[in-house]
Amino acid sequence: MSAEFEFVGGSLFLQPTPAGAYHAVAGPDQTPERRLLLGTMRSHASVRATVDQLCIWCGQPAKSALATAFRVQECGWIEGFHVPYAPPAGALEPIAVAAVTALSSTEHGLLADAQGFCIASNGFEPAQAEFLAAVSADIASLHERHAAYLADASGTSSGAWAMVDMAGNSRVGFWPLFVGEDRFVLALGGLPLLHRAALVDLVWTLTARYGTVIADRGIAHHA
Amino acid sequence: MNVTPGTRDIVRRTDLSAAVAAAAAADASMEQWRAEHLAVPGTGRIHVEPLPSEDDVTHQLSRRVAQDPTDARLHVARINHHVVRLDSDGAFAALVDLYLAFGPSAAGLRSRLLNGAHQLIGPERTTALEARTATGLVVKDPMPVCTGSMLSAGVTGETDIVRRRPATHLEEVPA
Repeated sequence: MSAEFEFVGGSLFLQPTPAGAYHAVAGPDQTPERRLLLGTMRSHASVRATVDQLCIWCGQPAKSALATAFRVQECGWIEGFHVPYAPPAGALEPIAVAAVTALSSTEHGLLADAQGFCIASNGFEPAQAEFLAAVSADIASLHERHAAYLADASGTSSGAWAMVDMAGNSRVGFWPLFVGEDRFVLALGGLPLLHRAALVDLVWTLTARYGTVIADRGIAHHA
Repeated sequence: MNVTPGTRDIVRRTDLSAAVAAAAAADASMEQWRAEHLAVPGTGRIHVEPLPSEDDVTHQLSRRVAQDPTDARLHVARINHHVVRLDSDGAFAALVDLYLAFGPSAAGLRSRLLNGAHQLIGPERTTALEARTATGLVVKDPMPVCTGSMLSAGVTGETDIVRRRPATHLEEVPA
């Protein structure tokens, strides 16, 4: 296995793709893949990777870390650029408002925390936003209580819920984001556009503020 | 047992003049003509019936492609929908989804639809897709930003970070 993979991305500044950013916070389990993706977002800007850096991010020895990085790369969850990238600096709320606006085809979105408080909202009336934020918290709590059964029954481990129309299309979808020991819910109206770079900005910003505890614990545990 | 088909013509508007009804019929006829003649050549008669949904046609086609990525008729209808409306970004996103959906197969379909939409999406995006017409795209392939794609991971940078060594390195056995 030592000869199976080689690292060739030394000149690239690594960061998650939008799909990678979503995967990084889509569940509470700290897999090597999630630790790698979260690791790329622990700095204020993307950094050039080395094999040693991959080992730290994954919390694994070199052989396993390269295998993890290869799996993540093949899933389209990580990418590299020749210049560093940094998410927008500043307060969380305006960054989150810009993100939830960009992530919905109708520009209807909000970000709520686990207690049901609305952190950022766009497109919804203030009363609607407060209601949806409270519903988000209830849905997240409901899902947490029944997660094991729901995974068996639905055949998916996704924690996302939606209110659907007659054809099964979501009118409002709720995506839980697990960041460190905190849990947020992203609620989007219309067609979700989670492959947009705004999702990287949002997850990176949340990770920078709330994500270091679990990331540190994971690395220490697996080193 | 009565097996004749039912009717939905139960209540009529009395204030709808014949002229207005004729104009509506003409609009529908023009829309169908546009759909068939302005679409990618040879594909204008491929239609997908809308489902009873609150979504508009654009969103509905996007969702249905996400739900069943291997339905070629959906891809054709979606690309034509954007081509007829001269929606450059939508056409490119729909093409990217087509390129992601079928792996190496369906090269002929990709070629035909790209040829029909290349003027709309522009030379840079055409070049990016043209290079992968024969093989299709995989999810880690970088593409220019495509708002509206349902199957893309949003990769725009380089993804050649870790390589699998050729098998010959592993099979070398000392004499």
